[in-house]
Amino acid sequence: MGGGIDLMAALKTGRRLDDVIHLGALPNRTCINECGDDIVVGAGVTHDALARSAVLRRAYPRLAESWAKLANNRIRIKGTIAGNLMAGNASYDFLIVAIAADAQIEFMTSRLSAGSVAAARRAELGPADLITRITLPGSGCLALVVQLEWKPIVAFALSFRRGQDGVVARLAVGAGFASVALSQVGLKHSVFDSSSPETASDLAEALCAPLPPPLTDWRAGSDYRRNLLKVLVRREIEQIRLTGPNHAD
Amino acid sequence: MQIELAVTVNGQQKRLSVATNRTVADLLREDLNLTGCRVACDGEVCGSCTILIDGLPAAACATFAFEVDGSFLETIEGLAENDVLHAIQQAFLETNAFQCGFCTSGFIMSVKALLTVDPAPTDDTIREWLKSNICRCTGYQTILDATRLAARRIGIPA
Amino acid sequence: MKAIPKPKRVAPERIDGRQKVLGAVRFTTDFSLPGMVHAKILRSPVPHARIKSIDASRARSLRGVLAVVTGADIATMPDPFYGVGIRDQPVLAIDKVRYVGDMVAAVVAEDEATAFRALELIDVEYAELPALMTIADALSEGAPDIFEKPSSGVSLPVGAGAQSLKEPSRNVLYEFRYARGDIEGAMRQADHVFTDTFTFSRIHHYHLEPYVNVARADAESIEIWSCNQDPFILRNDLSRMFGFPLHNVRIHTAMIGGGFGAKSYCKMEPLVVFLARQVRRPVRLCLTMDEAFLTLSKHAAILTLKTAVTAKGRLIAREADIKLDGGAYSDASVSTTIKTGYRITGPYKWDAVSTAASAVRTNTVPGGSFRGFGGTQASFASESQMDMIARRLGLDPLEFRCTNMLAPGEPYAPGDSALDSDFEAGLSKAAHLIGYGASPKKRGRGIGLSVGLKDGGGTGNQALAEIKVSDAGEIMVRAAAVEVGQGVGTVLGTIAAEILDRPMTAVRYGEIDTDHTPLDTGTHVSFATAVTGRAIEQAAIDVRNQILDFAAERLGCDRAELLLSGWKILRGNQSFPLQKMLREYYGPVGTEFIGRGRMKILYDAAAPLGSQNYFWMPCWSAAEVDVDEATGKVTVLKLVVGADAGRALNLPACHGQLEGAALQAFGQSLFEELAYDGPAPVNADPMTYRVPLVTDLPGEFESFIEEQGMGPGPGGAKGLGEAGMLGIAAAIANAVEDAVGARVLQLPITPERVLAALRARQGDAQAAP
Repeated sequence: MGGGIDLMAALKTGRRLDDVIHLGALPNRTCINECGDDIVVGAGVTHDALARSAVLRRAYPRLAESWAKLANNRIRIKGTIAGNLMAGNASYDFLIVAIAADAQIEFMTSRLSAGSVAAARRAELGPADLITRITLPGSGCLALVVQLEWKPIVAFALSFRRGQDGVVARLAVGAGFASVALSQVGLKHSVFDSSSPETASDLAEALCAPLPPPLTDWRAGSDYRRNLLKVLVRREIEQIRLTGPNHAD
Repeated sequence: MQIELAVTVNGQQKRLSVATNRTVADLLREDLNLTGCRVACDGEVCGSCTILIDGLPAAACATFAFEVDGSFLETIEGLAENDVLHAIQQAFLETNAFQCGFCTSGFIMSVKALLTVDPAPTDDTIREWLKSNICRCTGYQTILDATRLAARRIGIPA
Repeated sequence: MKAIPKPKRVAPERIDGRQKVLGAVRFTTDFSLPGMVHAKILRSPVPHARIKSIDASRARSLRGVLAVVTGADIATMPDPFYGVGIRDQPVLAIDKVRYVGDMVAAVVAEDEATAFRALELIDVEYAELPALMTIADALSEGAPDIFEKPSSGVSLPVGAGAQSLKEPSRNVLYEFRYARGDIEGAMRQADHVFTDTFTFSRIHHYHLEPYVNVARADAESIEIWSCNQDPFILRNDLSRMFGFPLHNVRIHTAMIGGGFGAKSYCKMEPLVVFLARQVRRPVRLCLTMDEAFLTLSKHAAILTLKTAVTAKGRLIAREADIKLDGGAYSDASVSTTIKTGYRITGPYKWDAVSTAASAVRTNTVPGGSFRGFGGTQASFASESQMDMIARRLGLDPLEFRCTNMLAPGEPYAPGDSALDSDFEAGLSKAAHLIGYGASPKKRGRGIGLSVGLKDGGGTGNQALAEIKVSDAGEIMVRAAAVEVGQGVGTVLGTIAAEILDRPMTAVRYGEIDTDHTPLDTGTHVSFATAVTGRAIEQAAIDVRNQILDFAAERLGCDRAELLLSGWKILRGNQSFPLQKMLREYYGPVGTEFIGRGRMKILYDAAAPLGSQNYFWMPCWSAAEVDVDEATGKVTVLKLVVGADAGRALNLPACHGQLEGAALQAFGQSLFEELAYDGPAPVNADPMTYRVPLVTDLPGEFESFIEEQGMGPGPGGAKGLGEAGMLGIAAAIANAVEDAVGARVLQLPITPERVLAALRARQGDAQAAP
């Protein structure tokens, strides 16, 4: 167990456990470092530590602001980033951030060999694999935001990244969908270029179109979620345009 | 299986032998007769069981006893000194920030942690912090009043 | 004259305050007895089934298990059924289960973990039956009977113009009918008849202290430490169910960590007693919060109101067809149905009324008492329709209400008591505080008003009270009104302290023990201040008279010459310390005075409910909202809620109860719901079930307490604990319509529903020529 939040919940609802290994004593799990432009987050970093880290605040101030409001302070103090990832719950928030950021998850197998997967392939990790750290690539990341205020109806993370072929928008959705999903759109013009004919609405439309249909459940219908997502993504893009890029474009 | 724990509770050192799966809530309530830590949802949601572990708010119902080996625990019972109420308790009393009282210990401990971390919190900070505690009786406004009052009083420089 | 007028005092500190902020209160959850063992319950995983067999042999042979009990054992009780009026709920399921969560078996073991483990070793074979998950399902052609035989008990008696029908048809637990005037004539003559249907949601109480009981029993007696709000009703039930004389049943009630009605009436107490008798050791049963969700809920309802008005906006007649979802068992469905049916007319004047309200049986969590029951469902429908009618007629919603409002002194209905609040004055105040009509309309912004109503005091309720006063002037108040957070000990203590001129520091509220505490009819329907308060008033006056009689004899004068003040006897300009006078006479041990009071609301067959309602409880609500037309999200910018205390005996406690209730209603209005989407609730756990947090508070939230002085309690006081629940939902729905023209007829008012209502309205606008 890292923070133990999911483990404790499982215990209290009847799951039987024979052995629990508390990862709290392992070294280097709680560090957040800058490695060039990248941000390297130790598996044991708590949500609270991440939200308050100077590194994250500098690189992605709006993300840090949203993260500081995740759940509540007790959960933020106790819950770890890796725990959040390993829970495998589409409603859990760090995975969509990692996917939008095109993060890399490093892990250790039960045979003590090291591995690495893109966040989008987190499902390939097995229960015996231990996440060691997560790297959020910095270079080329123009913006990274997460929208959690509409959970559990929808939640998403959105990034704009400059690659070799220009700027790419990445939208990762979680809550409201059967499983986490990613959609990418290449931009013809800079998202910060106000004379661009691509409106925020067009871009939101393009990002949402390839996504699988959202869920219909007791909370909301699929059509409502789909429509809501478009509105919220459009608003985030408009907000990003107003705020400007994270670092010089 | 039992493990040995050394833990400080309200300033008193305790040595206890507990089962590996014992929760801090059960340890406090049953082993130490400190029943001010209330268990309501038993699932780390409502905050009624909030105590301070090394100064930070934690849900006692969802913390294993083994996690607090070597730690400093504070519960509601440790606040008043010689029957004189702590400033936060006094503020809750004066602003009527309670009704049934079941959430009260958890709120008071949560406020104590807040005012230690941030002695002059803004209203937004107070709300965001107290989001971790549920009250079904008061509608929260008197609890916010109590927090502001306590902050003003505690924050007064000596 | 209602009571002795008293000067206004600064509200005293609550009697229970210090203990609560110290964390020193011993709730029932903290109670234990030596040798105590632990029970856990096996619950049905299916909504409707026959129990084919139960094999508990593996569970019984688990080390540490003392007993496993099933319906077969329960069926041997003198009377294994409970419920209010109609008693259809067995202590454990006998032959059949009727909802997911129904109690099927109980295990007693040395510790809780063993008891939980034993539950997994009980094998139950079910033969599933079609599940009736909604009112429509239950009433459909060919639906199976949830109850194949008539249940015990009776429908509660009602009075003039009303009918009370027990199990009138398949899957209908109960029906209440009420009519007056010429309804058909009225409908024919009216300029307009508007028919609208409203859907009210199911919520759970979410009391923080769990359901918990510790019982001890032997061949002759039963003793139980219970978190039940109604110790004497519980005593009656246990006496009947086990065949014990009343005085052989003893109930201890500590302060309760939240009830809101969930802890009213019989629940799992007979089961705990049964187990204690079985194992001959004290048994503790403490439910988890998850189990509480599966124990009781607020009644969901469908209300169709057909309302006749003149073109000028005078209300003429209302025909109401109300169906409450009673869930699997009766609990308090009978009274809830009566109250919903009766309160549907609101505080307005009508020429004719006709109501048919029924509680439908479904395979869902039983509906029961929840703060404001009946009044909440009725007010949502009635006050929503009031706005809709006003808008359709082009009338101002505030004026429309005021022109039709009953005035204080006018009977609610023929044969019933008169309104004892100025409903119009309070509504005008709420309107003023929300800024009604003050500023020009902004796009997406709206204001809504409502005036919720319920009767208070209960039908024919009764309270006895006792006060013991020491020669030092220390007061011990003894009454069965349970402290559930409302501050009842302080309020009742204040009444006594004022009459005896003692400071509140000299007052204690006695522990409730049915062997020693005087009887009452339960801590609900906001009755303690007005009814128990009158009994306390009598008791305190009784003590004062005894003291003055004593002093008159010692001083050789007439009682009329004497005054009791500051614990001295005053005669003209002489003053005699009372304790000294008493000790001289009675000796060093001193003495005490015991005073008694008794208050009973009379039965009255000429009143529609069989008793005139003791007082009336308004809830004046106003909301200002902002509606995001792209997402449907409703943001409540300002919420105003008001109530009438008659005379506030403790003003902060009044505000606290009003705001607490209003926030519960606020949650239900916008997001809180115990939702079914299949055979079991989808969110019956604390993580998924959303209740209001501090961050959900509206931007501005203001409560006001009127003291109109017309209540029947001491000094003109009356209760208001439930008031805040009544008007909020309609006020918000009305504000949303005011903002964007979208009418949501269903709770909760989710963003999706607002958007759908907006689209529907835009569709209508386009379709209209």
